[in-house]
Amino acid sequence: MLESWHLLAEGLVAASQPSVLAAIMVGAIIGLFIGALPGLGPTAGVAILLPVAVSFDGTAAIAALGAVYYGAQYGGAVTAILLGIPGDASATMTVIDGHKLARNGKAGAALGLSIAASFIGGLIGLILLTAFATTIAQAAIAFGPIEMTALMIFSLSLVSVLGGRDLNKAMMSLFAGLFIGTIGLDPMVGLPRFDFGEVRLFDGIEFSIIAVGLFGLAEMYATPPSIGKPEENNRFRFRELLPDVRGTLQCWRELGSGSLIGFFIGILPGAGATAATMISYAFAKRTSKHPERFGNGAMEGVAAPEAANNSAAYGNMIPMFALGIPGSGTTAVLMGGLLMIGLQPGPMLFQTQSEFVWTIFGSFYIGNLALVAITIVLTPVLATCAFVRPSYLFPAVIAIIAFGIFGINNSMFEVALVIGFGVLGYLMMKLDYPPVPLVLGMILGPILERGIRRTLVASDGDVAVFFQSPIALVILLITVVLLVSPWLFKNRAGKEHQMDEPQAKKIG
Amino acid sequence: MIPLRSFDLGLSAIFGLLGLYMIWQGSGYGYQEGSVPSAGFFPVWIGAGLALFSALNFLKVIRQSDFLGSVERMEVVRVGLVSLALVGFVLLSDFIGMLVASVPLMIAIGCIFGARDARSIAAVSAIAVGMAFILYLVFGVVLAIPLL
Repeated sequence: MLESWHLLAEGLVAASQPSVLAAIMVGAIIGLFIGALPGLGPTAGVAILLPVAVSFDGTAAIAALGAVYYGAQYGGAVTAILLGIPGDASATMTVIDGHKLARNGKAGAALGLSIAASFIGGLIGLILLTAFATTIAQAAIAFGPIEMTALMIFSLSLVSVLGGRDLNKAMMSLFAGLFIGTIGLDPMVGLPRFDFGEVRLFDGIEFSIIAVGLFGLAEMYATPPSIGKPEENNRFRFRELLPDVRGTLQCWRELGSGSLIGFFIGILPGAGATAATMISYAFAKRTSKHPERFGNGAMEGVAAPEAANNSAAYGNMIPMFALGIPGSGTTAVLMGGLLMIGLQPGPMLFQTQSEFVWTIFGSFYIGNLALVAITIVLTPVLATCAFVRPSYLFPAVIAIIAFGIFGINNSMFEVALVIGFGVLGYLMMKLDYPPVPLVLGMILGPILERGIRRTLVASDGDVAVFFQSPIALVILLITVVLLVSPWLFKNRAGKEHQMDEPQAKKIG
Repeated sequence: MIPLRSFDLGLSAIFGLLGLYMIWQGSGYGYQEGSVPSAGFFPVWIGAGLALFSALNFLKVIRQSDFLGSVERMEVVRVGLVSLALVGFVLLSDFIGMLVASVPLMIAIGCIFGARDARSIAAVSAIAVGMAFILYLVFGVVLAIPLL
């Protein structure tokens, strides 16, 4: 454990290099604006900036993308509090009390508290990330190719929790992602697959094309043009936007509980920041001496979810860095960024790229601290940004997308592909097809295929080899439980519902 | 309003056909060589999964006729127009260059997302020209990407 802190200290020094510092600052500021601007969330933000960021040096690129992620968590609260529109899903709970506070003339108190909560939640999340990531990665080093293949199968089975309401659609999305992952040259024999006679598909489809299309363009398509128009009672004086230190200190209990709940919920793949905010809000309300204040402008109702969503962002990174499993849409896009710069997330990353990992972790600490100052300074600007209309914002964002995608391989063909994936992403969003399983399938599919085929080649085609390793066997059993449980629960719930109906009729 | 049901049926059908195509094409790549899997092994299984779940969804949508709701016609038109504007940008870039082509692209997108009156269009035009300059600096100068 002590070694982790020593390595972190070295990481902090490495992250203080001007190039990394500049990347953190740029990423944090962009993230703040992305979080504050209506219609764009952290996943869309990281996806849009992915093709631009990977043009820079690897460490700076990931430091910048990470800063966009946690910066957006800070910024998301601004639109939630001032406009009553959550900048992203994880800011939904902040709307309930934050917007009430703003309407009661306490916008500054709510915004100040959200900054403090974001910082404390982020800091606790980071400390826990530092403590746990290496331990989990060290345990996972015992994994050989068979265990890693089982882990990949387990990761793909996460669609049952990542997949939203309709498991069937989640599976379709996953298989579509697996299909996209097979496009290009076969990893073992070099045979071109599903290239449709197009030489430019021999290298497969670049990850950022999918991410930008599914998360960036699709989110903009679904944004109504009316968003961002200011209402009369949504205008604030600068003095109203200054933080309230006393009110913040009074919420220490909610800040602590929100941070811890956020982190541990964040680790669970699929649960994510939104679930963390809901649970922390419910916990804060249940343990409060004045639960009746929740929903009517309670400071605690802002503190708990804001601490939780920032802490969850770092909890979410544990499975990605330590096991190579992205647990949410944003970490899936971040993982895509790591793959694009030639790094394979997972336990070996801590061994082979230790300096990189700790520099990135160091950059998270610096970014989290810097964001407090940046957010306080930029709050009035961010408050104005919350009213930027899509007609002014989206042209610039779409132009950045087009140039960014072109810049990856200097290819207009890839810009054309983004257009297609944008339409697909929009359709998927409207029809309730979750996009995360598709990204998961695209990232993990090729790794899984290589693992299965190499293992079977080594065992001369003997499938039983997967069940001879106790670790792999346990992982596969968990996978089966994970896949079967939604159907079992659904059937059980259906039967209970049927049993309740006659009783309800009797009572009626 | 356009009912989403038809879109869902269409997407399920496309995914289902894609699954069948994968099985057929995957078999062509070779499923197995001796006792070890070949290039078509993975695609055949993926195709089967995609076809199966697409068929299940297709049947489910047919049974639940009004469950999905609808989408505003204007929203669908907006998606189509933005896509068309981007296609126009891709085609125009070859002739007039990316930077010049990006200006009408941005103005068109601004109009699609609600800039209708002269003042808004003037503002979007100014943003477009300013943004083109920023794009040149970032991509052309800093990142040294050979723009078309």
